[in-house]
Amino acid sequence: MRSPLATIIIKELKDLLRDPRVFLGIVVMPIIIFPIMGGAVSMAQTSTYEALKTVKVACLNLDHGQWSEELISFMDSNQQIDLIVLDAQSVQDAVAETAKLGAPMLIVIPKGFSENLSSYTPAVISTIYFVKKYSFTEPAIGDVVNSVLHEFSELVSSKLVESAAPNVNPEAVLAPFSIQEETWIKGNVVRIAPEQLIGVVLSQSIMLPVVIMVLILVAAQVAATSVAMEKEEKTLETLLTIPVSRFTILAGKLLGSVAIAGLGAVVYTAGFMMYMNAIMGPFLQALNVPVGITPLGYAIMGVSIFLTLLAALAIAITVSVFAEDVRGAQSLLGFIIILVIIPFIVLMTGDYEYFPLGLKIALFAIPFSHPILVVKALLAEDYLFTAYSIAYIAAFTVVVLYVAAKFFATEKIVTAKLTFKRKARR
Amino acid sequence: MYAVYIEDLRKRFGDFEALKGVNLRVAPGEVYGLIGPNGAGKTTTLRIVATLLIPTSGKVEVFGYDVVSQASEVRRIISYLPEEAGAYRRLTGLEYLRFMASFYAKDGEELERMVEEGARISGLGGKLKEKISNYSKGMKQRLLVARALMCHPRLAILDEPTGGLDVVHAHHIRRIIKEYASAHGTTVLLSSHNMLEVEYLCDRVGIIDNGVVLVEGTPEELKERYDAENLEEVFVKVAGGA
Repeated sequence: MRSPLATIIIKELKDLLRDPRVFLGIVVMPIIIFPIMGGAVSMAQTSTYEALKTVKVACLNLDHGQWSEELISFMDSNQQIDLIVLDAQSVQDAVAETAKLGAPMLIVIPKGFSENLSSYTPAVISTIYFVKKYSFTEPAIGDVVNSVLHEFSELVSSKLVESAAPNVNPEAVLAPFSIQEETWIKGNVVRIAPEQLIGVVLSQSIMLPVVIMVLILVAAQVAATSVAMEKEEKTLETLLTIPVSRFTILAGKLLGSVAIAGLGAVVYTAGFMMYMNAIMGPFLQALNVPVGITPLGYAIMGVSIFLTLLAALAIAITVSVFAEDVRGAQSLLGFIIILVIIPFIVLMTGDYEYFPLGLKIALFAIPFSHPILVVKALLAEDYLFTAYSIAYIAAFTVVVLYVAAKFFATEKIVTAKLTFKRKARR
Repeated sequence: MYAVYIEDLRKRFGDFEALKGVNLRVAPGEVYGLIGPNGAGKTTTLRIVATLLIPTSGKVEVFGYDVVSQASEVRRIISYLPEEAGAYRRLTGLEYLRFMASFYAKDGEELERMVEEGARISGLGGKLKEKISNYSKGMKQRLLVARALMCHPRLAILDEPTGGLDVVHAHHIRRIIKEYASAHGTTVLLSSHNMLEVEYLCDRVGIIDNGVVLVEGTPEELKERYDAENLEEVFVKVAGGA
């Protein structure tokens, strides 16, 4: 014979997992969403790469001198550039012709360009960009052309130095010293620019809270729906008259939802890790430095997420006690959703360290901020903060569970309801 | 000792006084019907006896156990069927019976006995293997009544057990309540709008209105006292005559 608690948990699991809404949200969605996300990102990257493979560039040469001819043949030899030299007589005609050709860029080499360069006078080349789609690929086309022009500029500099001072190494004049960027991290000095490293780590610490937020919202929905369904179908009244303590009923419902949320956590995390590995894996491996969260950190993060989840479930169950049906429970749940989303947005866009004290306290008071704060603290190896955070969520969860248990122990579970009555019209 | 003993029971919901001093005694093995118009206080009384609501004042005992201070003892010997109750739609009928029986059975053998009895009382046969979401209202109610009776409660509290059912299902449910109560000596406290049902099922009847039990007696006594041909006439004379 199973214990009453186990019986209730198993019933909850059967009832919830057979609910297509729960099954879709917890199991099917992440299995579909992460591959789609990964596929979409890699498709976007591939299409940008394909678009940049050959860039059609129009060129109007009004100079016809030594350097301009050299520039045209330099660009022509570049495989990324599909150069079309125009016969137009004016810039205006060249613009019209380029637009007609559908080329995204026009390079204008002005008259006197070669003469200026040969007499050591700075010259100007105009590039006209044809904006059509406002896509991310368009500026990248400009970057391709600019980098080719820069390369040519360096080539000209080198030749000019060579002709002006034949005994001098042009490299030593053009770039007397270079900068080798390195970053100190966790006792290791790695050859990588700090912005690149922070970019990678931040992308980890941004995506993780997204997963946590989705998980909390799904779990709260599951728990609230579970109680509201019992109220709506009047199964709760029957359940409350069986010879089992009210706390066992509450614990059964809570643990049933936790188990479903746990399943969701596993599926979401696995999907998320696959997604992150596909995008970040090669970079992190090449770095060969333990960037991100340590195994101990993951354990602390797990505890933090579990406690926050428990708090969210206890709040959701307490709130759903006041609802008459599933729809009512979901409306009341809207308040919790706001409490989950606000800290998420604030913490994503700003740095907790630099917030004013009032905002810091407010964010700390909301339990749903904590998984995000803990992830940030773990990345910074601030274990003292994680200890405070876990102590706070644990205390908060105990209080909410106590309140939920009180509700379950009284007749309020049957009679409580929030009604938003309209004032009667006279 | 009474199966149900209610003395001067009062219940307030904010400003509204739902029960204004209900007095009621049900003897062990008796089938007692509480009848009254909508909002008379039937469901509130039954919910208090079922330990769902707390009385504002007064005394309510079930087989000598106080429903407030000894609620867990009361829950061990009662079985409550709420009005328009539902069952877990995504479980099968059999899973539902097993789920409910597991809270009352002492061991696996008793559990199986209860489930078998529940299946027999419901008369749903092979349909019990289907999900409850596929059941008609009548089938669901048969399952719920079977659930309420299979665990051999000393007191079955049935709130409108045939409410909203068609003739065939209502007849089946009335028959099983009557048979079960007489075969097991189970005390039944039920509420109903259907006077025919009350006359057929109940040993004694209480007419409740405006939070007070106005009259009590066997159906025969009441008909004689009010010179009425049936309970409906008695009801109209007592409660709805105004």
